[in-house]
Amino acid sequence: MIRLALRTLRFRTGGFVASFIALLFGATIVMACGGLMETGIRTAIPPQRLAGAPIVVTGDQSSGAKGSGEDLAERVRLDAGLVGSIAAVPGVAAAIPDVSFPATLLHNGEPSTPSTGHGWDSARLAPYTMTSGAAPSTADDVVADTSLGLKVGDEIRLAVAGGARDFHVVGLVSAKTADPATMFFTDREADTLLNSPGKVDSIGVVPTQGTNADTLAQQLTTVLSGHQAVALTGDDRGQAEITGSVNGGDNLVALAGVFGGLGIAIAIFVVGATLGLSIQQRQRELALLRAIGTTPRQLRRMVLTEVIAVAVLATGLAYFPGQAAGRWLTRQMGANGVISPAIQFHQGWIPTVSAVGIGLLTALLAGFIAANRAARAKPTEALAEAALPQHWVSWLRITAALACLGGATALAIVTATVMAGPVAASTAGPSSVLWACALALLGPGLFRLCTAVFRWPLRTFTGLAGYVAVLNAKAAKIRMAGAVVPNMLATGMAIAMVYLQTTSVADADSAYVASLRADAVVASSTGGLPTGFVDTVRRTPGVAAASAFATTSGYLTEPGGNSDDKHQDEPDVENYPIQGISADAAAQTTATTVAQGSLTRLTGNTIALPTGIAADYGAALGQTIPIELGDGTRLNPTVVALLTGQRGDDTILMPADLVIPHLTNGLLPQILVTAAPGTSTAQLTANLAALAANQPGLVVEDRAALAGQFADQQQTSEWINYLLVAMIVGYAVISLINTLVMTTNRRRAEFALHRLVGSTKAQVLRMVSVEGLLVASSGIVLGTVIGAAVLVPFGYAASGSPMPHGPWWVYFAVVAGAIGLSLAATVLPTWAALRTPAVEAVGSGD
Amino acid sequence: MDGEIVRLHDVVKIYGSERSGVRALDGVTIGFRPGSFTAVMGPSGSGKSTFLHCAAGLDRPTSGSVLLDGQELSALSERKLTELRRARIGFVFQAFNLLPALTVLENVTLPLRLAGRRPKRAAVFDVLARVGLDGKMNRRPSELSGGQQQRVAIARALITRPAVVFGDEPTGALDTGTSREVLSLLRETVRQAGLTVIMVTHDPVAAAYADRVVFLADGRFVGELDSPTVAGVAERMTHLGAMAQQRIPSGVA
Repeated sequence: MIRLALRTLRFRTGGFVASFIALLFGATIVMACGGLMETGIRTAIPPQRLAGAPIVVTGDQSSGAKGSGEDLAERVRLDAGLVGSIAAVPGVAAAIPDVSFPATLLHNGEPSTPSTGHGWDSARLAPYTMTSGAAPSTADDVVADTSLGLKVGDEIRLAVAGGARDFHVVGLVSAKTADPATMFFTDREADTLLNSPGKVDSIGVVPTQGTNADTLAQQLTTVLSGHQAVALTGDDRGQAEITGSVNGGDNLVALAGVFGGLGIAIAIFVVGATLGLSIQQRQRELALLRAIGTTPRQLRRMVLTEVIAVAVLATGLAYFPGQAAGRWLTRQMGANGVISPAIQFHQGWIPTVSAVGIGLLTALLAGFIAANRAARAKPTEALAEAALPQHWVSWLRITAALACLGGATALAIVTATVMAGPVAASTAGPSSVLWACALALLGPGLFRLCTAVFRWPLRTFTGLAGYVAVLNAKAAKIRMAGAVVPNMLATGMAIAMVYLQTTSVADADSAYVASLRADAVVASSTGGLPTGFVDTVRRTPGVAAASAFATTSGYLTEPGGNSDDKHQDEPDVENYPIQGISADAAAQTTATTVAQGSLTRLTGNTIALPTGIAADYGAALGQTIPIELGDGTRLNPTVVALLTGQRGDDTILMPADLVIPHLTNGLLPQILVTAAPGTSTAQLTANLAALAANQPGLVVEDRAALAGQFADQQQTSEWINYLLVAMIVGYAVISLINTLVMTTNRRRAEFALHRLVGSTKAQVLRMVSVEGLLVASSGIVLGTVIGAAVLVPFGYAASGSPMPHGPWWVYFAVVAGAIGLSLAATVLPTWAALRTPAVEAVGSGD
Repeated sequence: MDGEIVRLHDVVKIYGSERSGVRALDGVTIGFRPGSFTAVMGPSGSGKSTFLHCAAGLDRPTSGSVLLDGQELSALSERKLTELRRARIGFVFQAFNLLPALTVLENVTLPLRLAGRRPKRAAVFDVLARVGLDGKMNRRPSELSGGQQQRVAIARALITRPAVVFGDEPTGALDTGTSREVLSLLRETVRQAGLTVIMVTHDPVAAAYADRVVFLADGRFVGELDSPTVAGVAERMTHLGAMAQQRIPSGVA
C-alpha cells in the first residue's frame, strides 16, 4: 500500500501541489513564529560596548514582581558599593562600573546629534582605540567617538542631566562596533550626570587568567544575593547595554504565540479543505480500488501515507522560508521600534522540531479526515460516471459545527460582558477561528442558502450564463462550497483582524484625547527635563496650571499573596500603568474624575487608585497599599483619592516627585500646561517656546500635535500586528486561489462538453464568471458574518459601541479583493482549458 | 440449486426511500452454473447494472439473498465482503479500468498485493501471455490502445484465479474488431480455466459470444436464450424495447 501511495504521488504530482503549497506556507508561518518566540525568550543581544568583560553584573529586571513573568519597566540600578564586593571575590581581576545617560551634542543651542555618555573607566571594556588626545582628567573634559566628527580641542555644549553645559574635547576614540555615538566623561563626572547618586547601571567583571567565566559567574551569586542583580555571560550580556529594560522580548513572545496559534488553526483548516478536495476529485480512482478488492482500511492507509509523504517534504522544506521570514520579521520589528534592534534572530532546534511536528500533526489530522472520506468510497462508483457528491450532512459534522458555534458564542459573551477595554481582543481574536470553523462545517448548507438569495439577481442581470451557473451551483453545491470556504476564511479573517486593530487604535486615540485636558505639552528632545522646570513653566505668562507628567508602570500584589516570601507559591501580581503628576495642577490638566478623596493631597508618599483596583486589592481611602515601582523599588503609599476612569482604563496616579527618581533616566519627560483664560493656544505655545533659550532641546506641542503624535506612535506599534495579519490573510488567500484553480482545472471535460453542444468560448467564460461571482459573494456574506460576530462583542467591550472604528475603504478593498481574486482564479484556468480543442478535452474525463 | 456458483434469491433493490423510491430490481431469482458464460441483457433502465452490483457484492440489496459459492453475502461486514471479492471475484469494467500511475505488470498484480500475497512470476507471465501482453508489461495504461487496456483488465481479473468474473459492458468503449478479440479472449478463458463469466451488455453481437443470454426488463427476468445467435438476441431485444416504450421510463440504468 505504501508503494502504491508513493507511486500515485509521483504520478499525480499536480494533484498534490495544492496540498503541498498549503502545508509549506502553514509550516513556514508556524516555524517563523516559533523562531520569533525563541528569539523573544532568549533575547540574545550580543554585547557591544561591554564586550571586553566576560561577565556583566547588572540589575535583574525580572527580580521584582515575582510571578508576573514580566520585566520591570525601568532600569534596576545597582549599589555602587557592590563594585568593591565583587572586586574582592577570588578570581576577579577587575570590576569596572558602567553607567549610561543621554548626552546630546548641541549646535547653536539646538540639539544636533544624540549620543550616550559613560565613565572613562568603562571604555576599556569595549573595543575602543584611542586615535588622538588623552583621557579625561577634569570634570569638563570629554573623549568623543570619532563618528561625532569632533576634533581634539573643540569646545562643545552638551545637553546632559536635563540641563546644558560646556565641555572641551580632550581625546578621540574609534570603535569597531555599530554602537550609537558615544562620549566618555571622567568616572566621577559620569556618576554626577547619571542623576542617581551612589548607583551604577552595570559592573563589568574581568576574571583572572585561567578562571572560567561561567564558573566565576556562579560564584558571584553569593555576593549578589540580597541585591536585585544578575551575572550575565555570553550573548546575554548585551541586555545590560540596553538603557532601561524595554527590549521587547516579552512582546515578541506574546505576538509569536498569538499569531503562531492562529497560523496553526488556519493551517488545519486550509490543509484539511485542500486534502478533502483532492480526495473528492479522486473519488473514481478510489472507487476502482475498492471494486478490485481494496479494503476501506487499506484505502485509509494509502491516503494517509500520501499525506505524510507530502507533509514531510513540505514541512522539511519550510525550514528555509521559515528562517528567512523569522529573520525578516525580527529585522522589521527592530527597525520599527517594536523590539530592540540589537536583538538577534535565533532559531534553534526546538522551534524547528516543534514546527515540523505541528506541521505533521496538522497534516495527519486533516489527512485522517480525508482518509476517512476516502474509505467511504463505494465500489459501485467506479462503474458509474463519477456522480457529484450530494450528501454532506453527517453526525460528526453537525456535532463539530455545534461545538464550534457554542465555543464561539461563549467567547463572544465573555468578550462582551467580562472583558473590558483593549484586552477584549484576546478573546475576540480566537473567536474568529471558531466562527470560521463552524461556518465552514455548515458550508454546503449555507452556500445553498446564499445561492437561493442570489439566484434572482444573477438570473436577471446575467441571462443565460447566470441560468446555467445557478443550475451548476445547485447540482455541485459541495464542490462550490469547497471554494466558498476559503473565500469566507480570507474575507472573514481580513475584516475581523483589520478592524480589531483599527478599533483598538481608534479607542486608544479617543481615550487619549479625552484624558488630555492640557492645552500644550512641554517636553525635551534630549532625554528629559529637570524636575524643577515645572515651576519655571508655571511662572511663564499665560499659564494657568502646569503639571509634571511621567508614565511608567508598576506592580500590585493580590491580597493573600506574600510578596516577601520568595520560595513559596508565587503570589498573583498584576502590572498597571502609572502616571506621575503634580498634585496642585492635576485637576486642570488631566481628565480624571475623582470619586472619593482629593488629588490635591497627592504629595509625598501617596497614591490615587481607580475604584475597580481599589476594590480588587481591598484598599480604602486613607489606607496604605504596597506597590512595586518600575525599577523594583517597593513603596507603601497612602491612598488619597479614588478615581472613576474610562471603561478598561486602570491607570494609577502618583506624585511625579515620587515616581521620577525611579525612571531609567531620572528626568521629567513631559509637563502638561493649561492656558490662562484669555490666552490663545498659539500665544501659550509661543511663550513656552521662548523658554528654549535656557533649556536646549525644549519641545512645545499643542493639543492637536499631541493627538497626532500619539496616533503615529500607536500606528508604529500596531504596524507589526498588521504585518502578521497580512501573513495570515495572505495564507487564506493562497488557499483560496489554490482551491479555485484546482476545481476549475478539474472541469476541463465539462467545459469541452459545453463547447460541443454549441456554447461559444465567451459563453463558457461568462458562465464561470457568474459562478465565480456567486462563490465570491457567498464567501463575502459569510465572511462579513464572521467579522460582525467578532467585532460587535469586541466593540461593545472596548468602547461600549457595537460598531467597529476604522476606515470603510478597508471593507470595500476586502470585498473587491475577494471578487477580483475569485474571478481571476476561475476565469484564467478556464480560459487556459478552453484552448485545448473541445473534442480532445471531452475524452479526458480524468 | 446445487452446483450453482452464484445464486440470487428474490432480490429487491430500491433506490431512494422505501415508499417513493425506484424499484431497480423487483424480486430477481436466478442461478449461474460454474464454467458458464452468461450475458445479461435488457433495455436501458431494466436494472442490468443494479443486478451486477448486487450479484458481485459491490452493493447490498434492499431485501433477498445473494449466495456466492454457498456464502451469504448480506451477512458479511464491509471488510469481509471486500476480502471475499478480492479472492473470489474478478471485474472487467467498461472504461477507466486501470490505475494510471501503475505499469501493466503492477496493475495486474495489484489484487494479489492488496491481499498481501506475493505474485508468483510464472503465474503472472502465464496470465499476461494468455491475454497477449507479455511484451508490454512495463508500459503504462496511457501508452496502450483501448483493446490492450481491456486485456490488462482481463488479466487483472484472472490473476487471483477467481470463481466468477463479472463484466460491465466490457466492450462498450471498443470498436467492433477489438470487441471481437476481447470477447473471444473471455470465452476462451472460460473454456480453458473453467471460469464462470457473467457479463452485462446491451450489444447483441457481444451477447452472442455467451452460452446463455438472460433478459431483464423493469427489474425482473423475462426470459432466456441458450446458445444464442446475434439475430435471435436482437429480435428479443427489439421486442423488449417496444414493451418498455409503452411504459413510463423509470430512468434508472
